[in-house]
Order: sequence, then C-alpha cells, then structure tokens
Amino acid sequence: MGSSSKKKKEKKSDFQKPKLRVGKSKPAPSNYTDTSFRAKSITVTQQRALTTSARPSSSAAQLSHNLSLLSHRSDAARRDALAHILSAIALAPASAPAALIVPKVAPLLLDSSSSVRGATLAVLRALTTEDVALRAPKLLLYARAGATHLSGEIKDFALDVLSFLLQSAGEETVSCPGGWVKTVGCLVTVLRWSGKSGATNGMGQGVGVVGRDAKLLVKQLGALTSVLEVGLGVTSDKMDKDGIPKRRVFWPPTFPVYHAYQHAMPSWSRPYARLNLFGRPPDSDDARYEDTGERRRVFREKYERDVLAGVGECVRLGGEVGRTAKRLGKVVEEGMADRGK
Amino acid sequence: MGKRKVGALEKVDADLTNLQHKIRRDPSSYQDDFRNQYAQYDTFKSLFLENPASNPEVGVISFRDLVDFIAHVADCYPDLTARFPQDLVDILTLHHDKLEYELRDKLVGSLVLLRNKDVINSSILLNALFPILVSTNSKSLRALLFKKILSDLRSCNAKATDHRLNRTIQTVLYNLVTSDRASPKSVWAVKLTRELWKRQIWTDAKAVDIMKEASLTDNEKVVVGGVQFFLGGDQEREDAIEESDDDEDGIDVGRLKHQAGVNKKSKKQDRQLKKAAAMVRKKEKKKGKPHPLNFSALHLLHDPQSFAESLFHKHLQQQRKNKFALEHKLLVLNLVTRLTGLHRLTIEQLYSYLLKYLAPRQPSVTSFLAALAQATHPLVPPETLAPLVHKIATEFVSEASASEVAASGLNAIREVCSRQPLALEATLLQDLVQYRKSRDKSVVMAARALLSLYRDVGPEKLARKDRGRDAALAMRDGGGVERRFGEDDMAGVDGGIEGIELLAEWREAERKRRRREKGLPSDADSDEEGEKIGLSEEEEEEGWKNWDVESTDSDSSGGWIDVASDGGENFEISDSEDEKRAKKKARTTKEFEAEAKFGVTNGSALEAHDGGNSGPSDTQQTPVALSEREATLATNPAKRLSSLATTRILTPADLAKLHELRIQQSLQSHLPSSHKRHHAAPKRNGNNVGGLANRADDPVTAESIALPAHLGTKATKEEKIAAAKADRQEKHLGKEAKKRQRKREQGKSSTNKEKERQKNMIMMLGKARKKGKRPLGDVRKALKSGGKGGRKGR
Repeated sequence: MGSSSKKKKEKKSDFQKPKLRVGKSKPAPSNYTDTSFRAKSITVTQQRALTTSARPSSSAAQLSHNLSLLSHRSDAARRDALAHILSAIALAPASAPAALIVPKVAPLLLDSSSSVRGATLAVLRALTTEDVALRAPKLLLYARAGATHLSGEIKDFALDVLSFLLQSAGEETVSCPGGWVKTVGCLVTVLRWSGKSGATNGMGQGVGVVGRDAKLLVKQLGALTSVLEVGLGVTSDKMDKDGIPKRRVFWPPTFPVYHAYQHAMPSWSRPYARLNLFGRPPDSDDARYEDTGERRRVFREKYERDVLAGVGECVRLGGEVGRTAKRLGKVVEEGMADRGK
Repeated sequence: MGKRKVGALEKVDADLTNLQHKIRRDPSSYQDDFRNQYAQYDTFKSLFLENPASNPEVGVISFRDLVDFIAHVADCYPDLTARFPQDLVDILTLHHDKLEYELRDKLVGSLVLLRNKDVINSSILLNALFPILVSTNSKSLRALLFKKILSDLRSCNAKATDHRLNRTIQTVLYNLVTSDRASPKSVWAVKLTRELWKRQIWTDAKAVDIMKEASLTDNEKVVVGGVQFFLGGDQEREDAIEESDDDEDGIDVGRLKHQAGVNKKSKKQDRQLKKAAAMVRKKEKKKGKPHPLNFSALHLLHDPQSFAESLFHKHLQQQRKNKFALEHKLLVLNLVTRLTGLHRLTIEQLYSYLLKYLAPRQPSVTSFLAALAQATHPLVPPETLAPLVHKIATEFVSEASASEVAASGLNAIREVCSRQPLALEATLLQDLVQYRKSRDKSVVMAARALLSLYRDVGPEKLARKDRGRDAALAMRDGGGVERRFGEDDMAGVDGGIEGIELLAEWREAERKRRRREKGLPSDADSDEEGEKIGLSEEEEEEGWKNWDVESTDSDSSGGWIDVASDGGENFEISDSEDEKRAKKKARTTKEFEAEAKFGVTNGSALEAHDGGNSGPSDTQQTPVALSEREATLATNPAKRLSSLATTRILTPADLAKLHELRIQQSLQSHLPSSHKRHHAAPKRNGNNVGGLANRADDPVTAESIALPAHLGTKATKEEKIAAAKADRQEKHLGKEAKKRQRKREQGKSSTNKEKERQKNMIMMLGKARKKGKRPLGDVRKALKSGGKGGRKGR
C-alpha cells in the first residue's frame, strides 16, 4: 500500500518537532514568506492602450497610421504610406503638418528601394517652401549622408535631394550649422579632391571614367557648382551687392518705414538660431556662416586650392565632364572675385 | 566599349565588412573610400546627437555599424581619425543612460578595440569607463564595463607589472572610497580590488589600504565587502592559483600527438597540437620560476591596532547611527578578533563587549564563542578573560542544559585556554573536568579534550589523579610548570625561528650518515668542526641553485621521513595548514575528520586510516632513524644547536626542510610509542601549545566550536546517503547517453546511426516529403516487411 504509507508519513511529518541546534537560527516554518526584498519600481507588463480607436477613421488618425507604416519592412507598404501622405498634403495641407511629417519621412531618403526614395522626395516637394526652409538643416544631414553612401544609387539620389534643397531654401541650406563647411567638404571628398593640391598623385580620377561613373561625376560636379553658386553669392537675384540676403519684407526701406523690419515678425526660419540656445557647443566645422563674406573666407582657407586643382584636372578630360567642370571653375572665379568689390 | 572597370564598392551595396577587409590590406589605395565613410559617420553622428535615444538606422546602414567599421580601421589612418576616440568617449559620458543598449555596448567595445590596437592608451580608456561604471544605473552596462576594465588591467599587467597604471588606478579607487564615505558607489572599488587581488595583479599594501578604508566607511554593503576581503581574500587567491594549476594539467600531449598521427590531418588539429605544446613549454618555464611571494592582506596592513580599534568602535560599539544586521556584525567582529589574535593587539573593551553575547539563547552564539577564542592570545590579562570563561561555564555547561550546549561551551573554554591557559582557575577547571563522567558522548569528549590540554600546559591545576602518568612524571622532574603571564618563548613572535633546533639535529644526523658512508668514525668530534656542521660546501650551493628540486626530492634522501605507524596505534592529526591538503585528498568520513580536528585520541575510526597511510618501507626505516635521533639528542645540548640561525644563512632548501620537520614533529609528539622520548625532548616548541594543532594565524570558526556537539549524534539516513553520494555527479544519464559520453571521453567518433539521428531536420525534409508520396505498392511492401531492416526506435 504505497499511497497509504505515504499519506501516513505526510501526516506524521506535521507533528514532528524540528531539531534545534546551538548557534543556529530557528528553521523557517513551511508557510514562511520571504519579504526581505525591496523594489525600486514596479513594472506593469500590460497597460491599457491610450488610443481607443482600433481603426483609423478620421484623417488625423489615418495620417498617424500611415506615418507609423513608414517603418514597415515591406517596400510596397512604405511606398503606399508615402502616397497616402502625399495625397493628404495635397487635399488638406493644414491637417498634415510638416512638423509631424518631415522627421518621419526624412530617414526614407536613404531607403534601399528607389521607388520609396522617389516617393519621399515627392512628399518633400509637396510641402511649402517655408516648411522646407525650416527643416533644411535636418534634411541637409540626410542629403550629405546619402552623398557619401556606399550604394551608388543612393549617392546619385542624394544629389537630387541636395539640388531640391538648394532650389527651395538655398540660403538656409548653406547658412545652417555645418551647412557650408561640411557640405562643401563632403562634396570635395566625394569627388576625391581632398588633399589634391598638396600631393598630385598622378592618378587623376577621371582616367577611364565612362558610363555610369561619368554621369555621377557630372552630377556631383553640378551639385558642387550649385552649392557654391548659392554660397558664394554668384546668383545674385536673391542678394544685393553687399551679400546681405534679400528676404526681409520691407526691403528696400522706403520713406516712412525705415526701420520697420526690425520691429516686424521675422519671416525667415529660426531667427534666433545664431544664439544657439539649445544646441551643442559648436566646433569650427559645425559653425554657422551666415553671410557671403564669411563663407568666402572659409572657402578660401579650406577648399579653394583643392577645388581649383580638381577643376583643372577635370577640364582636361573634356566632354560632358569638362564642360561642367569649366562652369564650376567660372563660378569659383566669380564668387571669389566678388570679394574685392 | 572596353571592359568597364568595376569600382571597389559597386558590386555589393553597403558592404562595410568588405571595405574593412580591403582597407586592412591596402590602406593607402582606399583612403578616399575611407574618407567617404568617415564623412558618413560624421553626418550620422550629427543625426544621432539630435536625438541620442534613437539609433539612426536608415536603410541598410546604422550608426553602430559605422562606429564599428571605423574603430576597426582607425589604426590605418591615425591622422584622419584623430578625433574619433574622443567622440566616442564624449558620447558615452554624456548619453550613456539614454543610449540604445546595442549601440552603447558597441561604443564600449569599440573603445576597448582602440585600446587593443594601441590607438589610445590605457589611462584614457580607464578614465573614460570607470566614472560610467560608478554612475550608471544599468546593470548590464555595469557588468560589461567591469569586465572590460578588469581585462584591460590584466592585459596591461600580463607581461610586466605596470606600476604606474596600477598606482593611478589605486589612487582613483582610494579617492572614490574616501571622498564620500556614505555612498554605495565605493562597492565598485571593493569589487575591483578584490578581483585584482584574487588574480595576483595587485599584491601590495596600497590595495590593502583601499580595502581598509572601505571597511571603515558608513555604507553597510561597502563595509561588508571590505571585511570579507580581509577574511576570505587570501583563501580565494590561493584557490584561484590552485585552480589555474589544475587547468594546465589536463593536456595529454602524447595522446594529442598520437591522434595527429592517426586521424585525418586538419588545420584545427595542427593548431591544437601547437597550442598544447606552447602550454607545456609555458608550464615548464613556470616550474623553473620561484614561487611568488604573496603576503596575506592581514599582514600587509599598516597599523593594525588603530584599524582594529576604529573598526570595533565604529561598527560594533557605536551602533546608534547605522545598525548592521547580525550576520554583518558578526563578520566585523570576526575580523576584529582575527586581527587581535594575529597581531596580539590590546583592545580592552572588546572582551566586555563580548560578555553580553555569551548566552545560549543568543542567535549564532557559536560565532561569538569562536570570536572570543580568536581574540585570545598570551598577552591578554587572565583577569580580563576570567569573567568570560566563568560566564560560559555557568551559562552553558551544566547537567541541566542540552548536551550540544554543554559540549559547545566546554569546547569554547578549551579553545580560549589553549591560547591563554591562565584564564581558568584550578577549582573551575577541576569542576569542568568532571564532565568527562557525563552520560552524553559529546560532552565527554569535550571534557576529555580540556583535560588533555591541561595535562600539557598546566598539570598542577588538575587534581592529582587526573594528571596522568606523563604529566606526573614531568612534574616530578621539575617540568610541567605553567608559564606565568607575559612569559614568552624565544621562538615566539620576537625573532626566533620555530623548530630551528630540529633542523640542526637533522643536519647533524646527515653529516654522520655521510661520514659513516665514507668509512670515517661517525662521532669524530663535532666540536672541532665548529662552523661546518652538516652539509659540505657544494651541497650548500646546490641548496641555493635549484632549491625547489631539492625540496621535492628530499623525501627520498632523508632517512626518517615518514611517520612511524606501528600497527594498532593511534595518533592525532593536527589541524595545521599543512595537513589540510592531505586531508582533502584522503577521503574520510565526517566523523573521522571531526575527531581528528577536535583532537580526541581514542577514536577507533582512526585505526582504519592508519593502515592505509603506512608503507612497508617506512616501517623498516624508522627504528634506525629514531635511534639516531635520540643519539644526537643525547650528545648535543639544545642550546648550542639553536645557534644555527645566528651562525649561518639558511638556504631556501633549509627552510623547506625545516617546514617538513616541524610537521613531522607535531605528528610524532602524539605517538604513544614515542612516550619515553617525549620526556627527554624539549616539550613545547614555540607557540604550538598542544602540538601544532592551534596556531595563532588560523581562524577559529563557529563550526569548529560546535563540532563536538555533533560527535555523539548518529547520522540520519539522509545524511548517510548524502555522504555516500557526495562525490558522484548529480545529473542522471540514461544508458545511451552514458555510452555516448564514454565514447566522447575516449575521443571516439559517433556512429553512423547516431549521425543519421542527429541530422538537421531541414536536410531530412525532402526525404520525409517523398515518403508520403510513395506509390501504393511501395507502401504495401514496407508495411509487409513490418519495419524489418529499418532503424531501431522508428
């Protein structure tokens, strides 16, 4: 009778006295609960979700739903979400604020699928110029990251983004922190011109450049040209002759309101950004160079010789590359010559 | 159009590993590619710094990958990446609490990598990591940082001790402990120091100083860490050394060589063989080196008196501010008493403090009893100890109290009195000795142990009939007089060498043996030879050269090495350090060990052990040796012999021999057969009152106090089973599994059947699928055969 003897033993064990020993603490009773632990915090594994509606119904909800889909792993889903966002902007720009959209959309500029990248740029194009100008520093970061990307397609695409930025918010792009030195430096690196003036290694990068490489090279040269155009104040439709941007509302001052613009609401983005109230302490590369004179000085110090050496080499190649390089050389010449006036 | 030259990175998109590989082979050609990637890293860093909590993972490349990539090739472009290490340090220091954990670990790993590539030096790395270790809240990060810091310190000290680095780190730790005495952050200083002590990287007084300061802080955790270091740090270190020695023994080079000859040749096997050979070479080299001289932490303490005093006052006496848990209090008490006993300190209040804890109802009273025994040394005034001993006698030892209590009390009194025999007055002693007539076995044994102690150290206190023959004879001869308070041996702490006369005797005996071998009269006057007693000059030099060899060989060269164990006679195993190892190896029952430790000489369990220990050769040699030794004792007065230390320099081999002789003496002194010799030989040597059993250096534990209480009790069935099973492995293995394990241990491969069974499921999927689509005819055939020829267990 196995079970009965077992039961007997169990019953007996209830009445057995625990053995006590000198110097040992009492054995804990069977129902002892250890309460000696302490917790700094209690984690509740599941909490009630704050968003009540499961199905996006309102346009705002739909937008947030689509924004969340932007990090979907499938290309098609991301592209569709972008299409939705684009249509939302087109239908009711007020209901689709750029402040929400741009931070989410911007990382997709470096997406591995070309259709997604294209759709992203389309979304950015749909935004108003002010919105883009306000967020130009951040978008510029992505453009730069793309320009040095390992993938050739993304490299190519990033130049499109850069030219879009320069078209819609050129002044902001070159004057934001790091927007001048780093952008030019990045393009110079990409063109393999850095340190060119110091040591001519004889291996021109143009040797045997044909096909896709040549196209990319032309595009890169073009991008550098347009950056320098804007930065050095060559296209002076937005500038006056002193290099002061012409964006102020009451410019030029007329008789009754000479100083009105100083009292009016600033119309450009982040008017107090130069005070750098919230950012990190800038180093020399991250500094802002807000007017053309400063930018010219920095360009002369850092890149002019490299660029000129590179231009010379590319001009010798001739063809499409040579033509673009020649234009670049002209822009540099004009921009730097402006300084004497 | 000619064949287009494919660019370095066009083939594979975003393949940083590929680029890394290429850069490593030819840094100058890929400099532009690296520049691109560095620019990308820079951009990503700006993106990341806008929101440090995120890990900018855009498309295929993440910030983490870029950091990893640059860290791997940073040594190829030192000028381009000059700012990179500082960037990493800044990010870690500023944002370590917000970072996503994978990126955080990568940053730490990259910094360590840069250190390993010598891009940055150790002090930069440690200065970056240590503040984070101390301040972070993340457990995993702390574990990682601790590991990295430790391994860096180890690698810096691997070839030669980097004193400068050690000193700076020690100073940092010291400042951490002393700057804010209430903060729990000092725990990291304690942990680091303990770990480095254990690995013998730090063995100096400065490390001990850190721990000393840690023990005097206000934070309980830190205090406990510091105290535990002093109590167990050295033991831990020894264990670690032993373990590392064991590890290297595991290689069988012969077998590996054989296997390399038999089995298929592979690179792996080649590597294994080379590694094993290197290991063996290293071991050989290690053998030639002298043993590292490690001082215990307790001996490296500067000014132990003030340390013990402040420990006692701060953590035990003034317990108003921070009340410690009892076990922690006991730890501190253990350290204080250990220091008191070891360095013979005088802390007056300690004994009155202990007085109130000496009651049977007090939890873990055995620890308090052990502490009292530990705190006793020959320089404690007997009048301070008397009330304590008296209290133990009245509270613990009575017929009314439980047998365990009485036995523990008696044992505690014995431990105290073995260190200061004057603590017990004659009447009380005679009372206590009466307990050997008690009914309970444990009490009897405890009382007997007390009796035998006093037969040795103070027979005149015992009643005449209790003295025994030896003690009575000694008293008649004028010996056996109890030492007065403050009287000390020459071979005490003050300059004497314990057992030096044994060495002199041995040298004399050796000399005689040599002379006899040469055919000279053995007793050619030793007085004339004066200085050159013992070994010849060449021997002397040998002793200095490869002394370790001699010390190991001396077992065979010495005449009378092993303990005589005439059949049926018992001896007491001493509890000295040297014995412990031997004990560990010889499997004995719990009872035997207990009796041996306790020092009771009538245990019948010892007899079984006796037989195993004695070889036939020993018994042949011993009589000769003994007679020789007696002869030398007769001719050479002890006083002249002890001048050995002052007339010549002892070689390491001499010291090793001395050590051996001391052990032997302690063993022989308990042989009943050597009773007669016992009277002639100087009875008490050094501070080993009652043999080497109780040395002042050894700690007294609560277990040793409670030991006699368990002697009388029979083991329960469970305990017996547990003892029998003790050295077997716990995990149950089936028949097949056992077989497989045995095969693997023999270095044999698995069977085909087994291989088939362990085949990856994916590989078998096709076959299984096919099985379902077999034509009906085949199925029928298979069914008919009834699994004949199929595999077992299908």
